[in-house]
Amino acid sequence: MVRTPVTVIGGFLGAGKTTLLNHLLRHTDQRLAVLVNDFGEINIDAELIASHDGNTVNLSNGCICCSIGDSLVEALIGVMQQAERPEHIVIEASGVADPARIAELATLDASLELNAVVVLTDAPRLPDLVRDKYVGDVVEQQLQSADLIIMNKIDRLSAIDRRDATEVLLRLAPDARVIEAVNASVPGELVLDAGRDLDALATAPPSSGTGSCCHGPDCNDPDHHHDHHGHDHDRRHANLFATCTLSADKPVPRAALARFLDGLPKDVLRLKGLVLTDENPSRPMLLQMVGRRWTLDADHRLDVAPKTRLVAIAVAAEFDAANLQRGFAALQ
Amino acid sequence: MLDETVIYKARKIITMNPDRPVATHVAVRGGRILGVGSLDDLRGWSKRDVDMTLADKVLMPGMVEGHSHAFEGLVWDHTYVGSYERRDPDGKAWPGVGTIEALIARLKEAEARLGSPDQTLTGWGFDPLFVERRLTAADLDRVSTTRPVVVQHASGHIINANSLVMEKAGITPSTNSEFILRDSEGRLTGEFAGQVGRFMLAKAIGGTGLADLGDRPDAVRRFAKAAQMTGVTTATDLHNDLSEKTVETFRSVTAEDDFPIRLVPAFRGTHTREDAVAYIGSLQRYNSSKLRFGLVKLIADGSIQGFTARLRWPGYFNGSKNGLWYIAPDELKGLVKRYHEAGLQVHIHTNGDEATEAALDAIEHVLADVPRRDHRHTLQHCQMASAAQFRRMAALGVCVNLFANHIYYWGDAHLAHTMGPDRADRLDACATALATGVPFAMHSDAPVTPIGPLFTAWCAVNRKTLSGRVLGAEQRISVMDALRAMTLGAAYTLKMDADIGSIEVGKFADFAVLEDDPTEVNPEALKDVRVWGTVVGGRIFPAPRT
Ligand SMILES: [Zn+2]
Repeated sequence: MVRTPVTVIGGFLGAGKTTLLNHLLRHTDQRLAVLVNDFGEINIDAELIASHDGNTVNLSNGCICCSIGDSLVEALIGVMQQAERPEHIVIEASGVADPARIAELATLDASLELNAVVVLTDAPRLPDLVRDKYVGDVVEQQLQSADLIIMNKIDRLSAIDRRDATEVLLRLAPDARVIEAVNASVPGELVLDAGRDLDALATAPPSSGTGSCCHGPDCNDPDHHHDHHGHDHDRRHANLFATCTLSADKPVPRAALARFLDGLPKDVLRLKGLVLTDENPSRPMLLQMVGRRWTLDADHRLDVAPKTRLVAIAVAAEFDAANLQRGFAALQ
Repeated sequence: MLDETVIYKARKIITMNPDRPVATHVAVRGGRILGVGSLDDLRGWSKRDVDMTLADKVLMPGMVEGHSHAFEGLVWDHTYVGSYERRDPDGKAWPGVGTIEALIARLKEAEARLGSPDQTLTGWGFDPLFVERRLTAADLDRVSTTRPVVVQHASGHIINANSLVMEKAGITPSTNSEFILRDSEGRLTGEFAGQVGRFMLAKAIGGTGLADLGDRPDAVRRFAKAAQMTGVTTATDLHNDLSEKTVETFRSVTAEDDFPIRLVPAFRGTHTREDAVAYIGSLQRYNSSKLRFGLVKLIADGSIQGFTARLRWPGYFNGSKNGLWYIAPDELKGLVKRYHEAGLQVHIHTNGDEATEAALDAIEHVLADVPRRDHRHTLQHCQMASAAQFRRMAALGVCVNLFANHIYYWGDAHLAHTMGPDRADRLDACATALATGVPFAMHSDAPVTPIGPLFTAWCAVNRKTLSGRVLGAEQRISVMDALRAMTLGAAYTLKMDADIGSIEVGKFADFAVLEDDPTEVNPEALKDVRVWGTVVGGRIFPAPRT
């Protein structure tokens, strides 16, 4: 059975979940089904809307956007029963929800598979929020549930405040992968499955900012200050991420692979590709890693040559690609 | 006929009007009270014969249920399998089930009555603490293997299902979730918690199996009957989307002459419709003597027994982590402000004391911005509030509606598991409300617990738990204070005290008609006072006899 990946987008009120969902909806090459708490906030461009019927908006790019309303469970099942099943389901968690609880739903159905729990955080407010007497524990739990944390609004931080926010994250979620972002703008490939073309990651690395980073001059996202940040933020992307490919000639022992993945340095944010393991040296498995979560799928339908080829995306700053490649090659 | 003057004689009339606390006669005209006193006092209004229908009864103001749900009328579509006796709206008593065998027998009986062969059989109100072992899918398979069988727990968080439901939902032994309960050997028991249970039901039977109230005028009538036979003349439906369909159903049903209560629905304040305030305004045009729109309900946290209420330090007694915000405190401020500014009255569900604190912060914040006298915003449940929080309520003009029935049904669990002795002693602190001058009511939250104002009053007077112990003796209140809370107190929290809540000139002729005098019986027998029926707007409604 082909499983539909599910990504849960969490984060406290005001962290930028809606902005991120807007990015994903506008710049995806997949048929996404996005489940949102409130249509009113998502603000989809009128020209993108193909039709609107009750709780569902159909977009001209094939995506659908559904209002969760009173029952996430019913909205999710509704999406699963669509005539044309979406390629990826994205669920917006409410601002006070623990996204890991919502991610539970993806484990209940054999036709679903959890891709990742992505949690946004409003970096300037983070140190105050985790100390808040009412919601400190909620924010803390959300961060601990994350496979990938998007530290949003870093353009509004001074150097000192930035250090404080980073310290909070290191203390509360020491294992999580963290991306810094402005206007919740992160390359879609980092969050969702990059889609049909396995090589897309390598040939069009996110550092080129293909579409995912910025809306261009027609952008009417109220949270998007092109005048002030546009150029800055393109440049930031260009310098932020690095990619590298990992390959191996011989099958990799599965146990050693698992240890390698669990022990990856924190600056490796994303890994995707095919890997031949000792369990079936003639047919590669599909490896997906988003943040700290990875899955190996032997049942994929891809028609591929029996070889190992993985693409990694990492935070550029201190990334040592050669070291990673050596470590992977040593697994054989 | 209602325009004629009728003088009723009663054995005794308990008025809740301090100017004339007791009387023997009441004169009624046009559905309202003309006068209360001796026959001599009333002769100036009419020389006609005295109506002796209620001559040997004790009259009280009609009881006001300030927190119930019309959903009570729907649960009786399904089979009651709770641990204590419960009466359905026809007056039929359903004994509690104390064993798994008794539960299976009850369900089998109901199964035989179901029509179509694939219709879901649902049991409700099940409490696993009162049977000898865990209920399993194998037990429910004995009821049926060919139709879905589901048992809803009284906690509201867990369901049991038969094998067919699991199969239809695609749940297998390898499905991995902490919300799918297992026995000590790791086998599936057929119990499912929270949204996992809802997901399974939605996949297996296409929903929760519960009907929409808007489609079911009969269920609204059933709810009214359930309330009426316990002496209630005004009841809330305290959380409702108020869709056009539901509004239409409420309007048509309450317009029926023999509809026996005044219905007060509260709009779900987190409804995503942007014109919420204007919408409520449009509903208020439909207000009649039997139907009153205008209340807004907000839910800040979960339930204490489900460990989803938000507690302040030191948190849950058994070490469970803190519960859930249903509305974040900052958002609560915004929502309270929206309705407060529009002049509406907000009822806020706060079970845990941290949720109570956040609600008080929100109201204080909003009042500083937009001062408004006599807003009567009301905290619902408010079960764990400290004396300091009651003093804040008094200062802010906030009312409270306490969940006294909890003392009986969950008091033992609160003592042992959820909050421990210090806070269990002040659970639903009626005496503190009295001492601090916070206007208060008490409620059943039907169908969470059975509707029954005299039972609710009994809980506050005796504070006895199911196991028979007294929980927080210092918080016991007098019979008169408890009865006042169930009448004038609740009317005040609904801003209806000008029209209901006491037997007093000018108010609706709404009476609870009793066989016994609640102020004369032993306080321990308050719950056993027999209800003969009610009078609503001068019309007599005898309760069904069983
Ligand atoms: Zn309720």
